[in-house]
Amino acid sequence: MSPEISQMDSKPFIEHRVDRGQGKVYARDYGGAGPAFVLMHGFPDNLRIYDDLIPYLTAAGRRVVAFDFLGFGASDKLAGATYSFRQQLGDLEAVVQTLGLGKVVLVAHDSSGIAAVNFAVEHPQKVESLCILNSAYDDSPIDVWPEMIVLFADPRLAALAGGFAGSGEQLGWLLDWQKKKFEDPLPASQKPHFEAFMSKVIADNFLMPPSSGPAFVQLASEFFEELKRNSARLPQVEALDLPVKVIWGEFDPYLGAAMGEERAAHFRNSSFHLVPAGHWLQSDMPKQVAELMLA
Amino acid sequence: MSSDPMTFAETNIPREKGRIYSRDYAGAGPAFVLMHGFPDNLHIYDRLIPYLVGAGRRVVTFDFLGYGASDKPAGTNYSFRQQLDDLEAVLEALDLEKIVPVGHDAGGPAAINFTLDHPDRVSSLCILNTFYAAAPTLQLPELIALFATPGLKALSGAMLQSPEQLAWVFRFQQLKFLETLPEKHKETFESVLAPIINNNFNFGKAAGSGPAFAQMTAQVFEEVGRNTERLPEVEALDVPVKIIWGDTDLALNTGVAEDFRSHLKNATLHVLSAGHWPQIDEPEQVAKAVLS
Repeated sequence: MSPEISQMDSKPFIEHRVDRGQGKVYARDYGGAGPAFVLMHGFPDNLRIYDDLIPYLTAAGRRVVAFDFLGFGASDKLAGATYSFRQQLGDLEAVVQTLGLGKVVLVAHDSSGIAAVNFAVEHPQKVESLCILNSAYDDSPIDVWPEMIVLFADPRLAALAGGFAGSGEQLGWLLDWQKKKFEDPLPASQKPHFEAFMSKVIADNFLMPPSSGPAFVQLASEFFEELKRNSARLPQVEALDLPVKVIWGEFDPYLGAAMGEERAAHFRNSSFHLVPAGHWLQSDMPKQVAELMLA
Repeated sequence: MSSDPMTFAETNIPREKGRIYSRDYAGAGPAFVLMHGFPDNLHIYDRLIPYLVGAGRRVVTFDFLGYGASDKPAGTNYSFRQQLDDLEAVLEALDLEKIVPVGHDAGGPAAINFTLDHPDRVSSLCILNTFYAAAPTLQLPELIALFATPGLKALSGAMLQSPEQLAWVFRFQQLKFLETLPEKHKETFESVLAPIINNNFNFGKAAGSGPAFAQMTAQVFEEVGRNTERLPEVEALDVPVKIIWGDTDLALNTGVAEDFRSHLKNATLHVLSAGHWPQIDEPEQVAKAVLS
């Protein structure tokens, strides 16, 4: 058993700003032994979703890198920037190269499942292993996506989604409603931390200026097409030899356990680990998730 | 005739569950039978009826079950099939044999499917900014797409339960329609149409049309699919059809009207400088086309 660790025990980190042409990507580099864990966030949040997890990884002596994709968190959000899943893959490539990480363990959550798996497909020699938390990759009949994603992803609803995005009051209502959908199925013991921490990370992401709204809107509008493109890449995914741990929160009301099992089944060398936590399992049960990642 | 020509006989027509409210304006047959769509009720024809009655014609209009002054029984399963049956019930109760069905918006499928089922009872068919089968340019207004998208059922359901959210999304849609509406019609849109819709939903207060609206819109894609299979019957139809269309409606757009015409042997197309509710924007011109 590793000791209980709080966020206050975090080791210091070095901050990097990696140039991406249309602004800089903000990264945190916690010293330790390689291969480094590279932690990636999803649609509605930023690197803070790993605040609870990182101390367990660094305590085990490992190097950890977390970064905000362009347009999110502390990365630049330049007016007129264009965001895409291709650009997010480029962000990851730039971070790995600029920080000289060598072989990495990619850790994917939510929409960053796309950058992680596609990086592994394109650069298998740079990847030691993959840790896939509740995240998206391909288009499958069992897919269920959060309503807020569907609203912004469906082209027929673009104007209505714009109406929500254009009103702080409406966006606040939608975020509150969507957060409650994620929170409702959580075990009672996990709800207070979700309320106190993750709920605020998500709200700040959209409502605190500068908002991640533009990046979210552009990425979401490309989401369904990207899933279809990735379905076409599944033969390359299935040819990958590298070890893959699919670590999945079972109380995610959208990206359910069946999606995790299906994801694991696409990899030749995978294991599937169900954790009694929600969509943000790395915050709900950081110790258990870290143990699985480090095993 | 000493009585006011704009008086009407009210009848509450029983259905398996609840009653349908109808208005019958006396006049010569074949009677016009006016049908409303998803978000409104028979009042969308209030500006048109005087022109039809003034021409000496009998006019019948009614609220589909779950809308307007018709009953909204708890636990009702609303469907396009039920709306077609509502029409049949009205015709039987008012002893109407030969009619001119007039369908607007989601009232189109009932008008058209009645015509396919009983071509001998239809002297002509009028369709106003409606949908029926798959058409290349057919789009749903965002409000309808929101409620019709299965992956958004929980969200649209939550909005339906929130008076503020329902008011916001209806106003959003009204502003979308207003964006393209000719300036001269904007005042009428705000003073005539918006109150009809707003009263229809009461925005969370008692006896609104929310349940009927939510259930009907959820079936729109299936209904369009079923109707697409009936296109060969539409193409075989001999009944005269008047396609009367407001041309600034971007969702049920003039491409949809052209598509209707391409499937019909005996159709005339009347494009008006009006929005989604041409009978409110240009009642006199709609009457002229309907009576032509």
